[in-house]
Amino acid sequence: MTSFILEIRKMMRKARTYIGPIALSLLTLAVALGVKHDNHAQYMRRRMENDFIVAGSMLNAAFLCRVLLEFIAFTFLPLFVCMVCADLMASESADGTMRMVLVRPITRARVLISKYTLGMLYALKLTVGTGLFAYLLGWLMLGRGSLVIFENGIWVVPEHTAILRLLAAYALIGCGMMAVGSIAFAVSTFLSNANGAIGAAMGVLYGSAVIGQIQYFAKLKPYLLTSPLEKWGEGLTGPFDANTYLHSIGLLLTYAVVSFVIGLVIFERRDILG
Amino acid sequence: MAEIVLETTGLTKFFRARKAVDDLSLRVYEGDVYGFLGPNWAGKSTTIRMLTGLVRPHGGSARLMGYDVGAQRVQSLRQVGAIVELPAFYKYMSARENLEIFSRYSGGCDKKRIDEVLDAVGLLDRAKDKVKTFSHGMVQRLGIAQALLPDPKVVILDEPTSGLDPQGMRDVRELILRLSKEHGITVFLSSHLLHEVEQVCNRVGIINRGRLVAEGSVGELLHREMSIVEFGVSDIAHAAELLSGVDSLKVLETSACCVSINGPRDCVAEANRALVQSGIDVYSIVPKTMNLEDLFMKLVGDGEEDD
Repeated sequence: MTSFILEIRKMMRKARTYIGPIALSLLTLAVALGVKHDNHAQYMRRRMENDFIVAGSMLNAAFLCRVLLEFIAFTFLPLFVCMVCADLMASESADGTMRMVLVRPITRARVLISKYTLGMLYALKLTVGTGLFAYLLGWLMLGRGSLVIFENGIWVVPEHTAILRLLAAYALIGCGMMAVGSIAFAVSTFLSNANGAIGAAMGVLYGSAVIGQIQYFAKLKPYLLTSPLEKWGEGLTGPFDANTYLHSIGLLLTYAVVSFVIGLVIFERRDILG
Repeated sequence: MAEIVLETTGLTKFFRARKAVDDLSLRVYEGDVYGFLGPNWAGKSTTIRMLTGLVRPHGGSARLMGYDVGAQRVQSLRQVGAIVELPAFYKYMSARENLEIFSRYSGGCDKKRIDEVLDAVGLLDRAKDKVKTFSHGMVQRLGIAQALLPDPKVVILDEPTSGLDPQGMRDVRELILRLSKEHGITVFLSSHLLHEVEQVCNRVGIINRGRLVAEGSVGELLHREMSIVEFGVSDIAHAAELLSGVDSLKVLETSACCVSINGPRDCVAEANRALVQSGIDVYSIVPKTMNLEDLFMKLVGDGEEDD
């Protein structure tokens, strides 16, 4: 527990930790302002509200949460998560403080587990925190109401159900960020360069997206990193299938665990030369 | 007989094909201030990294405080403080915060102890300043402070005076002597500064190209090795030629009035006899004191010639 608290203390003092939350908050605000003041969106809203009975405002907090996730799930979120997860190990190796820590009576596994746990909590907190912030901001600026989605038709999800389904979507993306963060973390155990680890993890994410589009690799597709991540929206447009979500979460957590084990084995065997 | 607190047996490490440390066996006894001497790239830091478990040896073993570093790393480091190469700190934190963090990894210590070690290295008045504002010398001092934090029985210092000004170097030397004399701390000091080692260490190990080329007390080593003697003679050229022919002697240099030879102490009499029997007048025989630098240059220089 002590080493975990020490890791929190170190993380809280780094500017890098706050870049993600600040940038995502600003982005949420920008999207909320866009939804509120965009003429086309307002026109669509008026048209829809004339033709359908929608509880509350159509362009509301739930709508903002859903739109935001589309924007950030494969772009900003993994980038900010990787920035922090890769830095946990790489910066200490590059600065030489890892050497100072490891000449103390503490096992390498304990150091690694503390850092990894913190990285995973950060990934989850950043994702879910962004969702909560978006909902609260949306509530203040746009009001509450049912979630209306235009995708292969029009889907109207009642407010109370929408909140639960959005929570499930954010939790799924949170697990995805844990997986991506774990890859960055694993790479940073042997690469004393956070940028390299960020690049590697983002490369796996986008590489999966590309491979998933190639027919030749169709058999691989269900196991690619992006496939379970893409399932986040399914529960919002149609009946909610808990099994799909659980299966996707399981696959993403498998990525996270395998990455962690690889990182642990590398770190345990590695000579600390820097 | 004092207890062995640090020991390596056949320690070997490769970096690709290069043998960085080659079958290194050394012993440090409780209370020693052990100087680990060697030129750059001799394998000093690699040895220290193996002693602290940062690097895994390809052969042999290291023991600290009776524990095998490879198998019982945590136990072996419990009573050890160390600086390995240049100390590094969290630059965005103050000196005190850094020491708090590092102390927690060793089980923690109270504020008083942190003040004590900061005071010992002359940084108490800068305790609240961020490390990023520190000079190289101050970081080095803070490194020593963190090594002393867990109240260790053994302190491993890798070139602790590197980057310090002359006053700072003297302060560190005095601190090492104080640690040894007043607190009974065993010090393993790696350095390439010969006068530093000569001033503070009671035992020395000399490493060159990964191999231990000499080990023992400073006095013992200097006496064990061949001595240099200067002969004042009447015929320099003849004397130099004659002495060159004596086995186990080496003519080092000749000047206008004397010949310097290097060889075992027993051979001095033999050389004198040979000179007198050849009709060369001997005016003076002056033994030249060998210091650690002479010894070091001889051992390291010989090693280079061998290769």
